[in-house]
Amino acid sequence: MVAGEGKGNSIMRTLLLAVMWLLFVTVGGVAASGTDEVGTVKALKGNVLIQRGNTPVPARIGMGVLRNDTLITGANSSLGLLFSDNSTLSLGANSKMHLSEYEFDVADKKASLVGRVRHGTVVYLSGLIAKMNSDAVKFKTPTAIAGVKGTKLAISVEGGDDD
Amino acid sequence: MTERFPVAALSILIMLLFTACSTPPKSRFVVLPSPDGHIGMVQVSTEAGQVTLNKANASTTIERAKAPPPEPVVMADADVALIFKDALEALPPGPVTFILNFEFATVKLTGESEKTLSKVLEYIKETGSTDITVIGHADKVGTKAVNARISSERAHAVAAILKDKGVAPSSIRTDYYGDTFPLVDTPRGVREPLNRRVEVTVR
Repeated sequence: MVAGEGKGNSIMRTLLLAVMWLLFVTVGGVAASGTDEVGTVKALKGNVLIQRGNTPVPARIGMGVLRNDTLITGANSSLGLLFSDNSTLSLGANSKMHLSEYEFDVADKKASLVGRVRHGTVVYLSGLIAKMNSDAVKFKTPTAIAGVKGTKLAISVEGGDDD
Repeated sequence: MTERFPVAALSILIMLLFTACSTPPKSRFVVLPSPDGHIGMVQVSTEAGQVTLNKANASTTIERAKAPPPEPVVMADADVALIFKDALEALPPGPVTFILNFEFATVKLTGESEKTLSKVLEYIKETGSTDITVIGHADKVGTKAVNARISSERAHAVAAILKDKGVAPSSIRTDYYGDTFPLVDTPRGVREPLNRRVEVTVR
């Protein structure tokens, strides 16, 4: 990598992340209105937290997951979820993902799922949301966005920020 | 303006400090075959471009948001396992639906379905599921009202067996649709064994 160019990119990225973080903190708080369970914890190993607002709660089997939750796994830990649209998602060890969007309402034709992978590994197997709307499922990482059209996808982020 | 300047300068300083210690994150995307063998499509975009992953194990690794994503490469299964083994193992199964059939105009399971019911119980035990729906259906012999009643009775009969075998009542939801949703469409008054059924979905 060219050192000068890399540094410029890093500064820009850091600035962008700072702005995104501010947006997330200010807007995210308001957007966290959903209290409906959109998924359920089905598999669990080791040390797993689900952060709702500012409160991290240890995950347990059968626990509901809400839109705007952040999923956090520790070392030698993993988490598996089943969503209401029958899609499934899992995190490997030392991983963090924010479920920033989830809508699944067949009657209102609302369907979307957006996950922000901060670091670690995530596997996703699409369900009905992807069938209803082919642009509805997205996973964002610090450097890229993946649009998922009915498939199984594995994502890893190495060296991502911790927040 | 003058008051803001030091704050801005400080922020930039802090950011520079952070930048100095952080390496750029590396994002990898891999498309895997679904359990049914189907391979869908994933479009990976950065600020500078997009690639399409639509083959088994097709992968792209992105280190810079400002550069187009590298052309896809196909990863070996062993390399996929190396990175994703624990996450792949944690991926829960999706919902599984079992179909139980009944003798004509009764809530008596067919012999074959008695065996299926044992498999249902085994599967519930194995997965520890607490989300089980039991939905009754009838064929199109008789009035809609009678069929609604028999489909309800079938659902409740199956739910009763599940509870009797130790499934928590709070895990079971029953519902019934009479002859509204036949598996095999027939004219009214036609006996259709496949439509006399209860669908048990274990999530």
